[in-house]
Amino acid sequence: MNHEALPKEESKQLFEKIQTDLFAPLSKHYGFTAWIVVLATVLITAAMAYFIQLRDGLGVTAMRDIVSWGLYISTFVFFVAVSLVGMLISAVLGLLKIPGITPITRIAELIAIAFVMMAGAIIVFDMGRPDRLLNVFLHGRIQSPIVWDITVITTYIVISLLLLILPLIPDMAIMRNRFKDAPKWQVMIYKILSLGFAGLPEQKKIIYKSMRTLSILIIPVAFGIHTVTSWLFAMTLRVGWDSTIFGPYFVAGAFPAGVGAMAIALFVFRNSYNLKEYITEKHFDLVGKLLVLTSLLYLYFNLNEFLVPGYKMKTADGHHLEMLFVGKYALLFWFVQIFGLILPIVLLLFKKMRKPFPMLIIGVFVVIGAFLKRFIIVAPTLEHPFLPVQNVPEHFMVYWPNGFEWAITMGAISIALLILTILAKVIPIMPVWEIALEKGVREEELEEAYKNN
Amino acid sequence: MKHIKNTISLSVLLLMFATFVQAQAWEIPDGEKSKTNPLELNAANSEKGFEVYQKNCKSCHGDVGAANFMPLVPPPTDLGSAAFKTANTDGEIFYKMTTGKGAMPSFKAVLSDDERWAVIAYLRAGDKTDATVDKNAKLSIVANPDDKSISASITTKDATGKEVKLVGADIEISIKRIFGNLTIGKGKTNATGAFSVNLPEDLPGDSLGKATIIVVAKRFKQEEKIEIDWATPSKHHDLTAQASIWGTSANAPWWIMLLYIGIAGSVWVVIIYIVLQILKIARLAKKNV
Ligand code: HEC
Repeated sequence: MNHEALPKEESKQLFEKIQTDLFAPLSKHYGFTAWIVVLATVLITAAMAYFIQLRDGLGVTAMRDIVSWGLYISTFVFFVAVSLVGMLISAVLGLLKIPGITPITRIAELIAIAFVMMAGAIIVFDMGRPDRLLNVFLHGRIQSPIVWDITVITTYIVISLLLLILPLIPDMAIMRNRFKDAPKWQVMIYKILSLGFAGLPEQKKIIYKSMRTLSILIIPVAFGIHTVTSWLFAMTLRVGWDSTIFGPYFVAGAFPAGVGAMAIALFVFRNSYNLKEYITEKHFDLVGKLLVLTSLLYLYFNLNEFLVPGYKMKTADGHHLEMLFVGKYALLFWFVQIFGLILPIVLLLFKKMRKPFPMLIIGVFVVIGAFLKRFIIVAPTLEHPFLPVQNVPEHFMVYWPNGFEWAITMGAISIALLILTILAKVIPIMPVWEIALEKGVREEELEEAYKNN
Repeated sequence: MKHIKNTISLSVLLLMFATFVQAQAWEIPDGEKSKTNPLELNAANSEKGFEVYQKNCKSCHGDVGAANFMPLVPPPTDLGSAAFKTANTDGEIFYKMTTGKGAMPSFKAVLSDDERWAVIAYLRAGDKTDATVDKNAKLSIVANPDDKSISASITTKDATGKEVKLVGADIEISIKRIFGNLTIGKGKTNATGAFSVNLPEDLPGDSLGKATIIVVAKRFKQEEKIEIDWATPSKHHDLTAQASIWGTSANAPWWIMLLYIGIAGSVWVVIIYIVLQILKIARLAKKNV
């Protein structure tokens, strides 16, 4: 939405205003301390639980040798799913040149980075002997989906970081020049991260071209990360996992999860950062429509995933599906399908529902639904091994996460939110220079702000 | 059956490690205590009890009299120890096996009454056979490649100190396999004092035809081994030596290597290119100054 450049004086004022608005949250915003205290409390509880788990082993969790993947792994899948929003918003919408998305791209990128990092971390929390982590790398087998997953997650983290850093370079240059009086270390950081950017034509060209390349590259990698995550399950012969559409099913499921999280984040940043002028109702409308679109796609995959085996009811599949439809997991299953998928689709068809507050509520339901959905993908299958289980204690055969697992999982979620909070505190939440250009600030204005002096 | 029993003992063990089992004393009803073994204390019953013990009890209680039981809390007793045997009546032992306690499984549904009593016959017989083991008995084996036979005999000294071959002694001949010993013959020494079996024509040894034969004379607490090199050489098809999904990384199928290295490699080439580009931004800045 490149406006006609504004008259000189107006342009100057506008640029100043944009900077004031976007840099303001770096020094103060509402409820920051209270929020940090909440996260810290959860974290301390989690740390205590994790200490005991490390000391006494995974036996303190409710996982046993029959159900050996539980809440941690389902949370891992959830984290990976949410992180896909970075690719969806900043790459897909960006490349499609959807107008007006610039103000929300960095938020998407930050969510992606925070959650994909914790996805890696929660795998370590699921290890009884994390001190042997290195063995995964030393003795990993290239045939194992686990090794593929490590590879693709690392790659996705790196590309996401680069996609965060690149548009940050000009911002850092502006900040380097603007906050000369900040503490020395802070100025140092701006200096380093701005890489001496001075608005030279070659420098700008590199940034534009690299961003474009990465935006294209991240699409297959993001598909890869969630497809490979689904393969951790689909490469086995287990009921409920042994499905050829598991890759696309996961990818399709990731979009609503991420977009739901996006809706929540937009609402929070809009209010606590006082950015109503930048994150507008239009953005909520856009995110709402995106949520309908992606949810419809996911609904379609759900139909395939459940209707096809449900029609045939092969013995083992039948047990599994009964457990989901009318058995032990029925409540969770129908909650997820109705409140996390169908209702949001129906509601969001109405324009009124695509306003900020309704979007927040719907976003919360979609995210909770996505979280629970991952759980009923992981645990019920494990409760149905093919080999007969006999003469083992009852609690070996059924699974429900216990306090330790909830505490540690909540801890992981709060670390992700903490990463997000801190990043959003130290860097401007929107690419200042891109916003300025979009709003019609003159190039000279920016050149001046970049100048390395 | 054996599989199920193994599963039981294994899972009980796991349960032990997973939870703390409160140790409490055995409570044995008086009527149970005074029960006596309905089985005769003879070799056959003790033999049968030995088999049952090996399959069901050894995993936790170790070898009778050897005190090599599993380090559990509370510990499984060495059921051959004199202390245990004097402290418990047959009825008590029977009751304990039947009901179980803590990590000690109940064998009520797993073993028949007779099988359980047989274990007791074996435990009780233990002392007697110990005392009556013939110290002079010596087991010897002859392996004959011509007719592929293994022949075993037991010699001992008679009253005058002369060496004699025992007739009618129980012998078991087996061959060592990967997961245990495969019995190929079981019987008594004949009138000439020998017991022999022919190895089945197609019994595989290792790739060179080597195999270990084990001969046991249980009653005399004798066990001997002999190496032979005339078993049928096995054309062992090593599933991990070929390129396979389940093999080591070095044996990964070429198409997985190609896909993995191809995809990951090309993505990383682009990433490295971009990083170099970013560094160029800094270089350009320096040049400009
Ligand atoms: C899974 C391991 C396990 C297996 C298998 C097992 N036991 Fe035990 N057994 C124990 C443990 C542990 C104890 C001690 C229990 C306690 O004191 O709470 C015990 C105790 C006993 C006792 C009582 C010992 C005493 O000092 O009073 C008897 C008798 C006994 N076992 C017999 C058997 C027999 C016979 C079998 C096989 C048929 C068997 N056990 C198989 C673990 C096992």
